[in-house]
Amino acid sequence: MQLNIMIRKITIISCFWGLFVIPVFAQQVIKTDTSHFSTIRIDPANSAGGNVSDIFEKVNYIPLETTPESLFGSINQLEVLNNYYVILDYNTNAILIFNLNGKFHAKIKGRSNAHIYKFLINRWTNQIVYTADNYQNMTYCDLDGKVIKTEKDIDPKGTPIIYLNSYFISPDQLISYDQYRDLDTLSKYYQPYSRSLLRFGKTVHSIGMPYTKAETKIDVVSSGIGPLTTFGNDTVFFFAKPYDYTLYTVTPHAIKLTYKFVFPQQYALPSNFVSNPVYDLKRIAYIQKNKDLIFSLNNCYQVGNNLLFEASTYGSSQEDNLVYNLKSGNLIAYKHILPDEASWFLPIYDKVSSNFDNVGLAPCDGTFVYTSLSSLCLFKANEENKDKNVKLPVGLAIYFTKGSTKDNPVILQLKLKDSL
Amino acid sequence: MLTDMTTEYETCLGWYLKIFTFTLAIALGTVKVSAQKKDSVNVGTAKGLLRDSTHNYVMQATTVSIYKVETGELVSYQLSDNFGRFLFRQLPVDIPLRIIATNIGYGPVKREFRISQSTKTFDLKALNMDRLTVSLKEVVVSGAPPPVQMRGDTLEFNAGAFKLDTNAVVEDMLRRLPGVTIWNDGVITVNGKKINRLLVEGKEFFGADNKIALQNLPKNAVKKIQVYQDKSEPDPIETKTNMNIVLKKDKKDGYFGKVSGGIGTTGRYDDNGMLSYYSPKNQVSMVGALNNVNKTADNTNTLVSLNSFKGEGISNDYHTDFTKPGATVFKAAGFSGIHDFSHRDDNKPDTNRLKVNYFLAVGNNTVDQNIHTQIPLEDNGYLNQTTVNSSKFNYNGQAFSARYDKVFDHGLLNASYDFQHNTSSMLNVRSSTSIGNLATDQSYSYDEQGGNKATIFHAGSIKFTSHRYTDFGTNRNRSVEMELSYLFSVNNTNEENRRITDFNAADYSQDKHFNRRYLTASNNIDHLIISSFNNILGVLQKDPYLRTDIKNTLSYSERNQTDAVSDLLTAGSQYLPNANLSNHLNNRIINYRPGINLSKVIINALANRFRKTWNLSIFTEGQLFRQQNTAALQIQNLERNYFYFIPSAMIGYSNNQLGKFRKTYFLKYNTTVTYPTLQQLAPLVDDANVYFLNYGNIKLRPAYMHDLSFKYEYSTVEAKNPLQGDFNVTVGQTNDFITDSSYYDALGRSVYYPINVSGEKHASLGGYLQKAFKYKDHQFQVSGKSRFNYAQYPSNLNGINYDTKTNSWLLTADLIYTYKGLLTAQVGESFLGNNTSRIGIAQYKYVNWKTYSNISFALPKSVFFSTRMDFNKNISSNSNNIYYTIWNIDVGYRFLKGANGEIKLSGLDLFHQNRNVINYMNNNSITTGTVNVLQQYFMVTLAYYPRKFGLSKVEH
Repeated sequence: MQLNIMIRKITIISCFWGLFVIPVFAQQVIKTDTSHFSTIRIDPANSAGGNVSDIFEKVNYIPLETTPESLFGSINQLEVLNNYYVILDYNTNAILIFNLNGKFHAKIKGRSNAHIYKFLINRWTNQIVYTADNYQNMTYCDLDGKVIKTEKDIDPKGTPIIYLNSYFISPDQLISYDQYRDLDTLSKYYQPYSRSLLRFGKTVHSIGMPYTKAETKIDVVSSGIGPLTTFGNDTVFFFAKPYDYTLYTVTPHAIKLTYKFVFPQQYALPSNFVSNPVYDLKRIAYIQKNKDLIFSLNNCYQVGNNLLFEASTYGSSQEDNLVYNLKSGNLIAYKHILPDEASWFLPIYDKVSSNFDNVGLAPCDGTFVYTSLSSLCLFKANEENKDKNVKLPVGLAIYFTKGSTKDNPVILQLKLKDSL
Repeated sequence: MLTDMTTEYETCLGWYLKIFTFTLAIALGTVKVSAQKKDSVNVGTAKGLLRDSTHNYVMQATTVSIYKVETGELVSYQLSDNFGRFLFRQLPVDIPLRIIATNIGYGPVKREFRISQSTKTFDLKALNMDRLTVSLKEVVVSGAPPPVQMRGDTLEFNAGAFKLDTNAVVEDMLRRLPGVTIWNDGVITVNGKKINRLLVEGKEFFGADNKIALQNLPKNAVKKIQVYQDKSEPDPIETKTNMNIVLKKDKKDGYFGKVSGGIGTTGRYDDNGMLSYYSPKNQVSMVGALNNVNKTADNTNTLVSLNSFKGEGISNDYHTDFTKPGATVFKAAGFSGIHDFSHRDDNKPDTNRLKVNYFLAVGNNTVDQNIHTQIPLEDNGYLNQTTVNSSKFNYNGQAFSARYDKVFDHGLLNASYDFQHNTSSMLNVRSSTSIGNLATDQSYSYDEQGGNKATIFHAGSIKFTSHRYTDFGTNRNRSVEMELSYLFSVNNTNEENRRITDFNAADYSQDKHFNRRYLTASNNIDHLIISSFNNILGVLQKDPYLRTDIKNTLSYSERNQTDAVSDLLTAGSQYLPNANLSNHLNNRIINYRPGINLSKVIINALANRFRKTWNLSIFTEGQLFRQQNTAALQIQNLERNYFYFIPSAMIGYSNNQLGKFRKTYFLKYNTTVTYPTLQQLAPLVDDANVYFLNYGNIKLRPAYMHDLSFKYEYSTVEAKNPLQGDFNVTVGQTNDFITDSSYYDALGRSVYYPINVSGEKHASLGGYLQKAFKYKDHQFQVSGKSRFNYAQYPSNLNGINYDTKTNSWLLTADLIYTYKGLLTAQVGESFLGNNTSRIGIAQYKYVNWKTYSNISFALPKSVFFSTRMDFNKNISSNSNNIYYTIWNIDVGYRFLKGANGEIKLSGLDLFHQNRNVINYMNNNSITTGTVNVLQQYFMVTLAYYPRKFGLSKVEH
């Protein structure tokens, strides 16, 4: 429960490396192309609901085998890799590997007092890569949970090579996001234009979105999955710029502004929120106070004609997880979608625990989006559905007959209809 | 290059904890709230569905209320379920009903319908709700507010929706709310979860006593009652729930009070006055009391709470105390004030406030005792002493205190100042006869003591606590984890006493006569410094394996005392100084306790299933104790230095199964040292105290006690029928236990002095169990409590060692039934047993059984009635069984428009049987006897409750 409280909803990216020196002489700056983009007007208050069968083509609940060995708390990170679900659980500090029908396959156990907060996957090598020491060393494992190697993650300049928001774009190359930092600009080591939000390469060969001395006092909070997100194509990413309602498409050699969102005034940050120095080191405090303001876009995916994202605020809202259909312009609030026969009247997000608010819809593989529900939530819903005579599919029927509220969480796999 | 590798995710996590607790949904949000009335005609069913059809979704957790069209009476209400559906059962049929659905941000939906007698059901189908445009959100007020609604994570009950008597108070409304239990001990639970703090407008209301708000604030002054998670004190182990009473805009200030006068038979009187004023910034109370019916209180707030508007019923503690010995006259006046300096924001209530208190109590107490003491003597059989004691005690006490509390973002400051001035005078006349086995073993004494005492006391304290936190602007740790406090006190006492003693024995040579005067002036100064630097390794290391706290407690106290004692010689008329008792003493004590506390918390949790926590700690503490005495009388010129290692250790385990139960286990080992006082080491022995001479023992050593205790607690965390209980056991032994060695002579004179003995062992066993059942408006609470204590130790009588074994057992059980706050009934039984045996000589037993029952009944705005009956049975080994019954009745009537007027007739101790039985045992003797007590009286009381809420009308 403590972790739930702690990780709830928002993860701050705050690896404060205190690196005052990162010379960038050899690095190329990738220009951001802002020539073509779409402007999308979103009023979350006017988002629609609907029934599960109206919105989704396919809904699949995948109970995960519960044995003493495979028992875990909640799905804090989920990835799909080579026909396996790879799951990170903070409670047991373990990465668990299940096959696609939910059968337990293997487990990577973290050491006590060395917490694993995130892992990466490498689709080219089918490896799971994680750190338990704040990105000083990276451990590479295979899908059987066997350790292949442990590598030092610090380059000769003292910079971590892989860090919090890094993705593999080839067997050995990376794209990473690095956040705004509070830098000591008076230090003799400080180099103007030495910092950037994006970095390319394992040995960084290019950077994107460099920022200036004036932008070194920006305190950032980030929520859910992001600002870099992937959705099916391993070398294409969405990048949601902090405190900005813009979505860029990032590929290994290009950064392109793709979507610009406009929100109603009462939900929008001041237009000069990033540039105005009055907010320096007070931005988090400001958004904490103004709980209705959307401070970040995260969990951004594009699946066919649908654009999925979460508009995060400090307040609680039923209209935070949104689906925007690029063709019809329809806006749907995920939390307003009503369970029906298509989901066997089972909920599509966990209301009992805080996991949905922490993690949201994640991941997206270009076809499906995933989330997870606690057994407590599903059993409760099933109990309430008793009068409905729901005909459950075999897997779920067995789960409800043989399992209990103490079973492992259940993965929910969703396929959106293309025309909404 | 890596100059700062310290920042890890943990820092971030600590931060979430602070800011993200607000999103934690209280379990209440998912609980279906419904309250329906059952009746033979209420057989109809109505169902429907709520939709926002513009946006194509169903309306969840929306309030649906059903009213009777004709009267507007609220019949039933509930929140719609996850599918937007609602289903009402037991609705009245064949009458017009109105359904209203409301949700924040939406316009209300109303429909009128009638459930037909034949079908008994009505389907309202889909009701469409329309979202309000943003600009209209703030100004929507239409019709009656919904009884209950969710606003974010806060559950709100709107007072306006509950039709209660116009004079109902908040407590009456709370009893109507589904899932809310008001326990007999004042605790409130909502769906099994204990309310941590009850606030009014986000602040404490006249101190921490819930009763003042619950029983005085009229329901009509309340806008709504909010239940939400406490955000100001995020507790990572267990979240806390608060209840906040929001007052109506025009009722943000007001006053309430009581003026009453009672006159009774046998010269009894009972007068009370209380007036309290509150406003958003200030809370002020004035109280006064004057009575001779054994009603006393220690402070202003107790008197405020005892004079509440709805103070009748069995929960009223302010009844005549029939167990109090003697006749008492009590007069008191008090003032209390709280000023709030804070500019409150929602997350941090009570951040900056000053509390001031003044209390004056004047009284006298007359006690007449007849007691009989039996002392066994090894071969000579028994010594019997009969004493008639009459004492008068007058006192006048004034106490002033001021407390200032300020909460900073990462720290806490508390400062206080106390002043007390007490004067008292007493006169005690005692005549005793002691009869031994032989005719010559007889003595008689007359002892008269009188005196005056005046004390002036000042004390001040300041405490500062700070917490380590991460500054997220710069992402660095700031501040330290520490507690620092300093306390001082100065106490000046002046005492003047005189004593006349005549001791006559059958053997005239033993006769003694004293006429002695005592003048004592003493001055005490105490300083105490406490520091605790917590988690010191956390400064160097992010997540140290063990938490290390360094604790230091240093106290220094100095007492200067001058005793001038003089005797009036039989022949003369002049007092001559008594050189054995006149003295000047300077006593200095240094008590220093340094220690290191090592602790570890191990958490094993699975989300949505359980949370198991191990708490381990070892506190290695040393104690340096130095006592230095400089005295004019050589005997008291002594110095003692001690050093002891006083370790303690604790293992705790808690198993919290989400939504089911919580179990905790504690195993604790503790050591304590009791140091001999100067009075035990080298007292000045007053020979005028003929029957009891207390000598010291210069060789007395400190007593070192080891205790091992185990505690088990269990509570359910289900909304329905909460159950809680605990069980605890302690065993221990004391090395060098300090006990009495006593010598009795044949004339009944005894000499005591303390000795160290080995072989003291003690044990205790206890537990309680409490359960509530709520069914509609009926509530039952069952509770039981038991405690058993055992001790054995050697003691010495007339030079021979004996093993003394004592045990006591307390057992109570009761059942309380409440109906809507109108009727409360209680039956209960208590048992108290004491047993002392000195192996080989004597065994004493004393047992008290009490069976009690209460019924109180109050019709709003008219008649109230309450009665209590106690059946007592006393069994004692050296006297006959005693039975008596105390029966009290109150009948009253409330009149005037706001029920502000009250007339009450009381009959107390109707059977005229009250007795106060004295019964006490020590390791040598048993004493039994009687004392004068308050007995039957009848009283008529008139009371007026001045009340006004909303002094200045707010312009809207």
